[in-house]
Amino acid sequence: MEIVPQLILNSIIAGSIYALIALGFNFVYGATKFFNLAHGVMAAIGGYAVFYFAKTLGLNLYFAVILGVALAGIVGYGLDKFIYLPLRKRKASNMVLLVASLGAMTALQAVIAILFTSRFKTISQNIGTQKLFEVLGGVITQTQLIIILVTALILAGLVFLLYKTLFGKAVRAISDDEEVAQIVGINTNKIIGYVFFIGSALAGLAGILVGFDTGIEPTMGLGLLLKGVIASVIGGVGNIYGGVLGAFLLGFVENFGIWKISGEWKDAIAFTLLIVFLIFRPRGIMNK
Amino acid sequence: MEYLIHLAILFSIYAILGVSLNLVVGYTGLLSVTHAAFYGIGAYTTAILLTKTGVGFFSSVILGIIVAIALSFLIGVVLSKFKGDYYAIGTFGFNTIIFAIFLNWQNLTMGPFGIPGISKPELLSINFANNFNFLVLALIFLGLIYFIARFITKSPFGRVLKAIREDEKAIVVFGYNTPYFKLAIFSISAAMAAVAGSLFASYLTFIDPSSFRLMESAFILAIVILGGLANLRGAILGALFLILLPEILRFVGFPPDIAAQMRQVVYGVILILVMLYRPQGLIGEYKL
Amino acid sequence: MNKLTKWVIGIIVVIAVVITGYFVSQNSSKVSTEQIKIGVVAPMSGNLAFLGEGIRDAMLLAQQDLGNTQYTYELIFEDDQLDSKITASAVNKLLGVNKVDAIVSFGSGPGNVVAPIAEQNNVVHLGIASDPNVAKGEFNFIHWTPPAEENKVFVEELQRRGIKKLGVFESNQQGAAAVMADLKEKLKETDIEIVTDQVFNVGEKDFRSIISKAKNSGAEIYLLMAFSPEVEVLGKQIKEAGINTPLTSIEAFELSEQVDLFEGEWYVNAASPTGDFTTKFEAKTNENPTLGAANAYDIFNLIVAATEAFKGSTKPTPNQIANELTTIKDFNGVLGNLSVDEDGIVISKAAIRMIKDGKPVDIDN
Repeated sequence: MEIVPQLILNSIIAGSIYALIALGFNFVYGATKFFNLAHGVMAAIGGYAVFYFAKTLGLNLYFAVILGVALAGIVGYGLDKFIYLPLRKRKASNMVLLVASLGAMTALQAVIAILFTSRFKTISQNIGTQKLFEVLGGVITQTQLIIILVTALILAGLVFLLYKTLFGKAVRAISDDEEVAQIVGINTNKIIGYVFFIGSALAGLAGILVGFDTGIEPTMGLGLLLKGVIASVIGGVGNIYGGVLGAFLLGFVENFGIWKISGEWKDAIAFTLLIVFLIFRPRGIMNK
Repeated sequence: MEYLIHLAILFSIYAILGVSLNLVVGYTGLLSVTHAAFYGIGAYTTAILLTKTGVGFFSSVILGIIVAIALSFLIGVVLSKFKGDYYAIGTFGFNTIIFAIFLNWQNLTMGPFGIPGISKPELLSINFANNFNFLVLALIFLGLIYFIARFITKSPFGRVLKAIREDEKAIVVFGYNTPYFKLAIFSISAAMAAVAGSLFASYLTFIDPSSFRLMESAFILAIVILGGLANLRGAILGALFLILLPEILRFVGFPPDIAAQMRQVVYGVILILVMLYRPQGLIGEYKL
Repeated sequence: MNKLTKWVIGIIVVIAVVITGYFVSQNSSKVSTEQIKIGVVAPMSGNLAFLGEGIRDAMLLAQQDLGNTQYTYELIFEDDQLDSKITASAVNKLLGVNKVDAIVSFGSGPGNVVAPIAEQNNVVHLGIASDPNVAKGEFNFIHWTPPAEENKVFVEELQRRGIKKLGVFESNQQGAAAVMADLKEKLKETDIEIVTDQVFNVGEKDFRSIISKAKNSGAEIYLLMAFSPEVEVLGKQIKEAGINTPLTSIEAFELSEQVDLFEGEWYVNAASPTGDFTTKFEAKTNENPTLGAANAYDIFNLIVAATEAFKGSTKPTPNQIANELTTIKDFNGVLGNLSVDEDGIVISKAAIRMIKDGKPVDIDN
């Protein structure tokens, strides 16, 4: 069997996961203009919530997923309400918000570890017995197919939300200039709160899907987040399409990179791509 | 007593790192998260020279400085083009890449095995294997670096750095070549970090790549932010605080099965509180 | 900055230093004549906290299982996050404040940090580490089945099964690298060839592309030189790639949380860890023993054995404990029959085992 079709598939799978994180991250960045490092932890919260509701309490799986997504959203909303919003009111700079989010990340991660221990857990019931599909001469599992579909759906959903609804209009106004948005009568703080809810819920969903595909651990967020940030920057930070484009580019470069270079250089490859972009196209693919 | 001497040595090493990083982050306003890379360069230079050649500790410090300056020059040329968030993300990348080199250039660094058996410094007939003597040595280095840093910040050169921080565009109008200044301070700071690395390697007598990852850079950055931006004494205070805090928390008496994770929670919450109530750090003179 | 702030800061600094000093002096215990204190340094927070938690539970279990002894044994756990500087702080705290009689460390990196400190302070140190460098000196010991021992058994088994082409997935960390370095040497003398050798970093969860690279190598068996959780994810993704080539490992399968993944596969493990230990560990924690947990259990008992063997009116000095440790032969540990050699290495044997009906069992050759 030829390796290239499988590598293409692998790149698409990896790209979809990065895209899920990048979508939520970019959505929040667009409105708030700061690097929210706590975004990754929302993925862990979603994953662990499903683990708890479905595996420990034995609730219906779909119900557990909905609860997990909601919980991640609520925690994200809470972070905004109690940390980021007061900081914004004090006119804190992006860097201050970034450091505060680092604190939130550290603390939340440890809380998860206290509640669930830090051992790696799986949330899929059928280990190794998943349905396999042959696509374009490569193999893909059912979960991975779902991940790709969900990514596409979410992208469509977010685009609809941003460009076809009143709420989206408000978000875009804030994105362009928060002060002006305030002057024309938009309750920016309320809108940003909702943005945090949606963005964090998306991260939670990403965490749940990763949990089904591989598994969950309290520190899973940071690795996911870094990939999401790289994807956002090379695609164009704050740009919904850019994040997705960057995610797939990153997926392809990583997977084709380790085809020729040994696997231990994977992270270095990802960050080299980032630096190349920062040098030659610092605003990313989509932004001018 | 040995314990306190040990903590004092660690404090000296991290105070050097804090003071040197403050030159870049606090005085020039560039959020660098790659300091651990240069710290590692110094540590590896000393470790390799002391275990594989007949070079003494003090010569290895000089060589470590030279290597760090050479490397920081290459990285700095790229970084000098960036600003704000993008500067920070770029430094993320360089730290990850240099970490990958420490880990994967096995012939030179012994990769994941690390380098054991690094000897302690010897000078005349003073034996630095005694921890108290080592502490004196570390404090002397700290003093030297503090005064060099103080000299720099009080000099006309230092005033240009602050002007870059406040308004880079304005100072460009006056004909200053700002990338040159950013590059110079970045290299000076890297050279100082290398000195801390040499001390660290020789003190522990063993190093491996795990001491120089991205999170270590974040820790050093936390020292500067917490202690006080653009205040050299602030960086020293930050090092004191962040080295002592986890150790004090060893004695607080959390239940043993959650003690370690509780420390992380406290650490995270403190970062958030400082950002909320004292974003310039304890005694800082500039807000991020 | 105004004068007031300066004062406030000054006072805070003084208070912080005083508090530290106070805690240190308050908690500095008197040297007891009856009590043997064992300090344990392991990761209890951070990415690999589950390993430290496993070590802790195993040692607490050993303490619980202790029968009547002449001395009492106290365990003190300190977190090091597998970070060298914190390892050094933890050891110094255990030595300076708790005045421990013995130190147990986990991992080759931390072991290398602790060893010179233990030697300098004349305290017994037992590392759960494969690097023989950790055992250097009079007071340092390691308890880990030596890579050379495991590889000997492994290569013999490969030859017995007539396997000529070996594929390797290798985690880029010290333990795995030590085994692989030795294995590559050993394979030079045989006609077994490593047809593919894929390295990945610790923490990696996406192995799909290196699996694709290895797929057409013609390997007759894949050696998964990785530990939980990477080994499970790797095993699962190999299956999901539609590969049915047999899998094997050194150490890792036995500790897997998803043993089902490796049903029917043979592997190398430290000699017959008694099922008893696994059962008890599971009863206590509801989890499988983690990497090094069995070693930790044995280490506690080795320290007890060495201390109890010393017949004296007061408790033995570290020097005497170290001496007693080197005389231990045929000790009945959960990792089989243990003897300590003159280099301070606890020698344990390796054996071929397999996963059968979801349980690890010995194979009778």
